[in-house]
Amino acid sequence: MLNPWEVKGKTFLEKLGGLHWFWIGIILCVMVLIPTLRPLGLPISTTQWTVDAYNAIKNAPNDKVIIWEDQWNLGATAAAEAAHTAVMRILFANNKPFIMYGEALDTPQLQQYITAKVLKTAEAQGKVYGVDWIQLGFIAGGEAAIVSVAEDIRDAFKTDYFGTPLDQLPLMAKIKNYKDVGLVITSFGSTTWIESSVRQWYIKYNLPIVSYTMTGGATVSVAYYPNKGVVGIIEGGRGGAELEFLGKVFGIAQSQTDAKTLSFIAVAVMIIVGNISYFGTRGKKNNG
Amino acid sequence: MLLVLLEYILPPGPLTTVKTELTLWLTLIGSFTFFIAGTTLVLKYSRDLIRTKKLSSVHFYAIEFLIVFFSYVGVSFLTGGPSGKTYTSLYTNLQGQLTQAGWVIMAFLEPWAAYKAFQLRSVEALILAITGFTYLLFSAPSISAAFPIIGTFANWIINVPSLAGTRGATIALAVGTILLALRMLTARERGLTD
Repeated sequence: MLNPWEVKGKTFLEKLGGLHWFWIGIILCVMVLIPTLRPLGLPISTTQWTVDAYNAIKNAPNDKVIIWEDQWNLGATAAAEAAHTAVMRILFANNKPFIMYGEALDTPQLQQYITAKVLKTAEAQGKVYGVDWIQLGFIAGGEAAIVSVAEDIRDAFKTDYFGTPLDQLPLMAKIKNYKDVGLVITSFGSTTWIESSVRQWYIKYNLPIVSYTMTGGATVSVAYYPNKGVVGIIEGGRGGAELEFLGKVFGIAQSQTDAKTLSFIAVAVMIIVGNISYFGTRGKKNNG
Repeated sequence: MLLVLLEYILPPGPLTTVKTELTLWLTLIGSFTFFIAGTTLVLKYSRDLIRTKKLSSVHFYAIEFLIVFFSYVGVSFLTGGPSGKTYTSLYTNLQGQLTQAGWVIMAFLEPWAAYKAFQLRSVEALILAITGFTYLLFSAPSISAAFPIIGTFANWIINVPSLAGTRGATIALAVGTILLALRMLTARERGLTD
């Protein structure tokens, strides 16, 4: 069905069932556009796993460093921006030094984009690069990369993302290997990546992990939550909104939450309409 | 494989050093594959363009690739590497927006897929529809705030059937991987191409 104006079927229910995907997309666009232009301020609920993730970050040991391994890329900015920003602001607000690196080719660009935004917020004032946070670039190798970082971070990286030798960065004096890590934040899309993190950080070194992922990744992460490695889960944009609320670092997630709620209601209505059409025409087809 | 298994079981010692070194090699090989991938594409597309007598749509893809590839390489070399402001700005504003646009197109198709896939045509479809519908409503934070029962039911789905399924799949995958590795080590696994 290439022509969106083409309507198949004779009866109203048949026509409803043959609705072109273009119109469904248009309804969804409108639902996203309304709260983007004018946030509705709809209430949000918090999930236990996000509360646990927030507490894990807040209560991470002060004498150790937080490792943030990141697989999100620039293409996922729309989904990642709220939670990435909220995580970084909460880390700054609670004076938790962190080191981030990327496991996807363009993760460093995403991290730079987010950092530039976060540096304009109140929580980042007075924070110094190299002292409060470090951005190491991209590392290839997947699970092998985690092993290298955990066993000796200087073997895995010689310089930071900007080419500065690691020994010139004061924060690096606090870390050599996994023994100096207090918490691992592992961020990834709807994949099973959490299993690699659990194998390498938790099973080998008993380090707690906050899984920051999308819906598909959250359902896998839950297998290790709350006491088998994963101490908290941040689920994409929704998790970002919850983190903003919990950490009082309000940002873009509120309007995203409104858009998400309206568009999901629209999809839910479409599912019901699709079934009405299906059952309304089924008997007819059987009789015919 | 044996070395990694032994190192895992034994206390830290000489084997640990060997394994650490091998793991480092793995990350180096991983990095090198990107170099090989880039070189292979440049060679392939250049060869296609040189040898062609008549341009077709495939050659336009080749031209597009070569222009973008060398632009990025050029900008990177001339403006302070990939962490430089120009490269970052180019990457964020061009690549970032284009890849996001790709995802946005899916926003048209996914609800339509739900419209069709969640029709209760069978028992399996009924289960898919109930779980999908509940998780959809749960994922909209305002809906589960207004109707907490949706959150309770979604949590049950995640913590009981979904968790059981995930663990089952993980165990099956692990056992399968070990069996496959053993078959490969004993030359019993011929692969898909044989």
